[in-house]
Amino acid sequence: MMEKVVRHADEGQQRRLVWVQIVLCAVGLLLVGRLAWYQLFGRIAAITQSPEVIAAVRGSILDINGHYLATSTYACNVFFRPDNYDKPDEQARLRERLAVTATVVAGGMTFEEGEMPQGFVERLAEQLIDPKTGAPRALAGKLADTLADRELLTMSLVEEMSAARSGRAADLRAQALAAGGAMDNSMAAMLSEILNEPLNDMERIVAGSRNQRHTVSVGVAESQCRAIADLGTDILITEFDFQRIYPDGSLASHILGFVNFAGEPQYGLEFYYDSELSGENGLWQGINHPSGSRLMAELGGYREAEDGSDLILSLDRNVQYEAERILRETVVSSEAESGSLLVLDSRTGAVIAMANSPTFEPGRFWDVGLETLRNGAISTIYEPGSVIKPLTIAAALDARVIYPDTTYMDEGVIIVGEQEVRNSDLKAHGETSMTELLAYSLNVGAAHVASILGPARFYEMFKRFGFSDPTGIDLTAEERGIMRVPGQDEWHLSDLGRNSYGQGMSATPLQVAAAFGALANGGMMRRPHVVAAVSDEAGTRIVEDAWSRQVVSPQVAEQVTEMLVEAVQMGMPSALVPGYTIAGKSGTSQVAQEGRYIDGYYIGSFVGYGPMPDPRFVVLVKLDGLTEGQWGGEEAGPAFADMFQYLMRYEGIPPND
Amino acid sequence: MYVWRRFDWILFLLMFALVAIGLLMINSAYQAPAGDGALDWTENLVLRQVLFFGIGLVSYLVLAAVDYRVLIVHARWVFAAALAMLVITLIIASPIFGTSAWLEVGVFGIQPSELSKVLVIVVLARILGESQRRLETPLPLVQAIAALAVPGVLVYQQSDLGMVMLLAIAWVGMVFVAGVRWRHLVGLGALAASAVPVVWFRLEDYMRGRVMEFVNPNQDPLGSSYNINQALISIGSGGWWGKGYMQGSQSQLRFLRVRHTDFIFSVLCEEFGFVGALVLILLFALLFLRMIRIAERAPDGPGRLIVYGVTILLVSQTLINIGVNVNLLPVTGLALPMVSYGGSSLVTSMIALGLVQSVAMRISQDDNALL
Repeated sequence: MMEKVVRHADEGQQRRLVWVQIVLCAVGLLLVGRLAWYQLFGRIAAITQSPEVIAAVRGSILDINGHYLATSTYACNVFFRPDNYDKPDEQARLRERLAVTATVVAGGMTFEEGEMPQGFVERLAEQLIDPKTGAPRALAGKLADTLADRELLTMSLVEEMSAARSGRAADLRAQALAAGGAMDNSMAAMLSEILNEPLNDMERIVAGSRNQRHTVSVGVAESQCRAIADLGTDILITEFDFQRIYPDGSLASHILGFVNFAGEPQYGLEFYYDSELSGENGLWQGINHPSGSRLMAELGGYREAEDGSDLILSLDRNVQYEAERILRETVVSSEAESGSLLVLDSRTGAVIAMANSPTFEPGRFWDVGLETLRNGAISTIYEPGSVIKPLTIAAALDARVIYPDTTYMDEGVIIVGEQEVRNSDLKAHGETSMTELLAYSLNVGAAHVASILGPARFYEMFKRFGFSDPTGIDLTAEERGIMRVPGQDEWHLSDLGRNSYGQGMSATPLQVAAAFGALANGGMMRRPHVVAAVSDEAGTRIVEDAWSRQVVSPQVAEQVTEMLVEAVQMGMPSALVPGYTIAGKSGTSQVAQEGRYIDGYYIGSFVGYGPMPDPRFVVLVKLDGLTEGQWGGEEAGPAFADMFQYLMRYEGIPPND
Repeated sequence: MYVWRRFDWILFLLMFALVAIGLLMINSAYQAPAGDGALDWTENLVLRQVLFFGIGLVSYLVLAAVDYRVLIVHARWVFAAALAMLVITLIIASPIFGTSAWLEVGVFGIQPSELSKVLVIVVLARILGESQRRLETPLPLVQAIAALAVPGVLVYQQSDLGMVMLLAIAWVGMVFVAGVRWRHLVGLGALAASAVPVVWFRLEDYMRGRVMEFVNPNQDPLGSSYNINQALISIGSGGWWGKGYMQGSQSQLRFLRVRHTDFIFSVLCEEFGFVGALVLILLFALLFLRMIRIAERAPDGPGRLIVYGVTILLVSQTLINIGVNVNLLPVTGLALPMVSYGGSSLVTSMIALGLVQSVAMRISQDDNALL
């Protein structure tokens, strides 16, 4: 049989075939060996794994018209690592990279998108050339070799180098390749050039403390960040991070709150709604390939980040702007220390504007003291004073101990719980109607009404108006105010007299405005709230009202409103709004300290609502730090009128004839 | 029919096993994007590959039925057909993936340059295999050079470096095995060595880029050598037994590009590990050994050279593809024969094996018993 085989394939062919087979087998074995190397003993099998966080995007905060009040952008931060900077080999590597960069720039090449700034090469060359001799510094030759070894192998660099070879480029390249000497200066100059930061600051950072990494710049543009990252050095670290942006500067700052350097929410909505806004970070289990790239390792090693929800506020940016402007100007013109202005939708309890003065920029929260960060409208308590009188009247009307046409004999003084109560003008007004009581803000009348009502019913009604309980507004750090009630040791019958006209008790501006909201809304009080809806990928959810309650009957609310309309016309003309009928009450109070009132320091306020016959807005203006002789009605009244006038125009509500 | 009784089932079944493994891996590597609903059947790559297998099977049987000696006798028409295919491709080709060698036939792209390489093998078998005495003169070598150079230039015009390389390797193998005299080979070698620098500078940029990338793959990890790194991760994460069918993260999460074609071996390595890869390599080895056995018993010189040519062609393509996958060779764009997705590649491989089957079926009864 062998002969037959030989007959077909002759001996020469057979020998050569054996050679071919040997070569192919060898190649095959080589491949199998290589496979085993990778699969069984491979460097890749031993790749270290570490999870990496995929940051969720914090939700935005929008006003009712969809304007962004707070949002997040992807921004780059640049850090300087002095510990790496002090390593000689790391410095050498950076110099090398700078030389390459300079070469490329000199050759007319531009970086993808992240172009090196104008003048950078010249600056760099200055730093790299010995100023005395004009000669390139020592390391130049060695660097050229390194470049040839390492970089020539990429085609793109070959092209870049050849482009750099001509003319002036060659000179600059030689200069740039020079190294050594004033590294600190070139470092600072480079940072200053790339980041557009003052040279002084950069020098301070480079020369600064050796112990910790320094923040060079935050919120750097992507192109600049790329230029830094392209240097490929461990001395400069670039980290992408989300940055919180407040496009309108200081607008609505107290409502928004802010996010601090550590990324923690502080104050306002940012804090209160953090769980909704922050979303959930994702994760990915990456592996480090020897080439330095990170690659996906396992199925399921990837969890997508869930971005935070957006908040849509009932707040109207335009009204808020106007509220802040009016408040700011009023604080200045009345020489007050500070103030608050609130606009509520009386039908829903929605906050349409909430302004405090002084204010701050959430994006620059570090510029102001802690006191300014507080939202005075909900976090500051004060004795509301005479604005409380309509509530006292409402309580008495509701209990039917008085009627709209009830009068009383004002003798200028009344004793309640062994304490004298006098009118602020220290006069007796004779027979007085309830409307006159409100118009001229008579303390004696209020105390009289309270005493015939009695403490039990008075305090029960005031609790229902919301005093000494937080309103439950969806903002952080709400105060509840103080109102002593019968049954407590500290309570005394004389408190009833004082409380009837808003003294001896405290409340937040929001509590007062919300209570007036009940009068405006037919006795039905709504929980004040800021967020109208929460929006995420799944859709937009309208936030339901947490509570509402009937405080007084609709008839009582209407009776009090009629009195207040008349009272404003009689006694508080500065708060009148031409063409519209409004109800309101002024108040002037003092601040108690260590058991007595501070001399010469007054708080003036005006709370009103309208337009009649279907009130829509409650507006409260409060001014702190007025002096002797300044009255709430005269100081805060015009601000109320301005605000209300604006609301009418803005909402397109026509005036009465 | 008489010849069909000598049909080589082993040759056929080994080929079939490789195609089946290919289908399995294509199914894993190329899942339809989730949530896109039902796709048109032409989008289902497994079904398409099955259809290609059908076309290939018909071609295989036709070629097996035709006596290869008919082709040898009419070698000049075979050569003319090969050139015609290449020229037609050049004229009407639409550029896809930078390679303009795809001729649209219905919904499927057919690559005539693929088929032409099999035809060139037949022509070479005729030139080199007719008689040993002819080889004493350099004439057959010159003819063989012409038979390579003309189609080679046409393929090169289509920017298909891998195909040119493969043709050249098969040519060298056939010339060597055919018994071309050493003195002629040495002379040719000297001539070729002097031509290399010229060729290098005539290469297209992307071809040079591929070679450079092979020299230093870590230059640009997320750029051009991205896929090689991804393939190595796939292979490296497979270990002994692999992650299991449909469990390879690299391929399932689509980090690996062209995973169902050029890099299907990496997918297999990741999902079936070193053992799975060895099984595949073993199947290839058995197929090639079988083909060498057939060559040894071929009835005549041209028949033997056809089988050798096809063997060298398929072995080289297999080794090169695996070599690329394990980063021993630059990326060439060559598919893994029978296994990779692709109509042209599969049909061409099956036609080539059909030629081998044709030779095997004409081995005389006595010799056939030895198989």
